[in-house]
Amino acid sequence: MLNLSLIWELTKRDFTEQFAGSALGMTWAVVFPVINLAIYTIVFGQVMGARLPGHSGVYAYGVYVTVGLVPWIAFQNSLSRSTSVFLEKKPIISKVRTSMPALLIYISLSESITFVITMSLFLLFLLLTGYSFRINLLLVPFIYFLQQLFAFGVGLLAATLNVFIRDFKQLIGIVLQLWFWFTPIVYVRDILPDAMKSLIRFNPAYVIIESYQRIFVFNAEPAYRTLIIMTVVTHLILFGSYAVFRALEKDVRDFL
Amino acid sequence: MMAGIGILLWACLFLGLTYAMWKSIEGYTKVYLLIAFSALFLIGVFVLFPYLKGFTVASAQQGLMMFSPYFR
Repeated sequence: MLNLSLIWELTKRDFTEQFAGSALGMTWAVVFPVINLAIYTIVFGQVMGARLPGHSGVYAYGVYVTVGLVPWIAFQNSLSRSTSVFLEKKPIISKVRTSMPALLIYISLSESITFVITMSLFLLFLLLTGYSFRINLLLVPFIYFLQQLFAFGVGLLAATLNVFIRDFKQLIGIVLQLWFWFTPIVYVRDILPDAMKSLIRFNPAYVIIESYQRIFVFNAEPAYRTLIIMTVVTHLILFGSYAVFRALEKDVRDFL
Repeated sequence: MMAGIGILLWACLFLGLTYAMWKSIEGYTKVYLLIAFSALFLIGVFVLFPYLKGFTVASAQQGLMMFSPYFR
């Protein structure tokens, strides 16, 4: 049912295909994150002079943006790419006997490789700039796991519905754009009007991103109670998505 | 340190349990069980981690209080 070798092969191919044929090859897997991190930290912090309210550090805003953007990109790519995975992998689904939801795993794994590379480079940057590491950093992999599970749950539902309604992919793209600007990633929560501040608590992406920001930027504890609620909600979504998929699986295969 | 080891042990325990469950159960029920296991695992992490951190600080303070009159 769960073809692990197929998932691993798809993950490897998906990651290496991005750089296939280029002279530098896999070096780009490191160059791109370095450039992105340089933009977030050096350009925002030093060149543009952006400062985080209440923080005098040159790199504070850069760190704030990085710990928001890097997980967001992993989440966004996982969700948007998952939406069309059944249609894109139609030849595999029709030829190889495998679990269809398992196909979403390779997307998440591929995005996780990029996330791990970028975060490793980011930690190196923090080390070089004299950042004091706290034990709360140990929670980062678990928060990331929760985030990717959430993307998986929503992605599975979107992928199932996208087989019948092809506009779903475009719809998810628009939702993700709005979602990005409704989540304090490049701006701070305090600039929002009061009505929005109370609404934003119900934004799952905010719960996740805020946890990273608390750990990395504010050296504080993440909101454990909110994370537990988020865990319950995420797994309810996973249950629901899988139930919907199971109910429609035969039709999905027929449509494909 | 205590929190790190505690979470690592918790992760190992759940990996073992999940593997045993996955191997012993047939059919689609195991997917639902996998989701339930994952929920329990993460809830466990978010409950245990602050507790273990608190435990570390408290036990260290208690140790200092016991062995040195200067910390009384």
